[in-house]
Amino acid sequence: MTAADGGGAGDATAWAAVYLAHRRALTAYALALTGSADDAADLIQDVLVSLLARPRECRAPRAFLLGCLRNRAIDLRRRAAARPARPPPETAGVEPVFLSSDADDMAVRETVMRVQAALRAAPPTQREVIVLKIWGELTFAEIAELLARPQGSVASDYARGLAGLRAVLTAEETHAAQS
Amino acid sequence: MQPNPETDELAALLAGLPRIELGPAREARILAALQRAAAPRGRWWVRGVPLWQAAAACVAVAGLTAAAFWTTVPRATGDRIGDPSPRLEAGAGDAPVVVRLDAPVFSHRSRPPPIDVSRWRLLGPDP
Repeated sequence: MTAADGGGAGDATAWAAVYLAHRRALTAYALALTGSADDAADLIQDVLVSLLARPRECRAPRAFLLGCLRNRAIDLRRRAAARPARPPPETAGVEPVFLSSDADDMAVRETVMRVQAALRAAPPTQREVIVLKIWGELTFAEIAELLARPQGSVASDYARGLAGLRAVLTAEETHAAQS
Repeated sequence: MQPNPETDELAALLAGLPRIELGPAREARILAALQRAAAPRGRWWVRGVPLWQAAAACVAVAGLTAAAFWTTVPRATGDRIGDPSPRLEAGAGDAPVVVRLDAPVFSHRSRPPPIDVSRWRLLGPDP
């Protein structure tokens, strides 16, 4: 997509279409960054409106928007801490709050809660890579560019994170089966 | 990265878990904000022009006006607006004073050259 023709109704329509096409990934990541649906909506709105004011070339809109969400969330967090000179945090501090535990199926609800607990126990860098890969639906190359890290390191974090997740989930299942 | 069936299976399981959605109201608010931001701006006085920009514009306009005034309005020798009017010299009486200007002092676009009026005197009757 090209959004470099100047802000206007055309751009608004284009960004609205991008939002609607990728809203599940954007919502999941915004929720993971902010922790609440209202703040996530504000974050998404803030980013989309700011893109209208400063049009730019954009070839991979989903990855670009996820990157914008991350940067904006870090900005807001830094501003809230009122310490502008502080170096940027290592991760954006994503939390698995975008998973819904209101499912009708009891088994699904339990799985969601176990996954949330396991993700919270994972190291923050691995957690962020897993969220971006699975729920943000990005490639390793896109994640590496977004996080400004080597692609091999990102892929390794993903593999280690999922292995840890599997170990925790398996141990919990075994424990539940024994009790 | 080599494909790993166990990893892929777990990733598929995770991706299939139910997620929280923003809901139609919040999504409508986002889209409305986009449309609002893209809409043409209103009249200039409701655009929220910053005070410092308005003040800078006023100062610039005042400066340009003053510069135009001082460089284009012809004035007499060295006087300034607000200076007291010259008094009649002793002996001049009520006789009309006729002054002949040999130099086009009022035709300059810029500031006219100073004229020494100390040597001016009354002329005789016009031939």
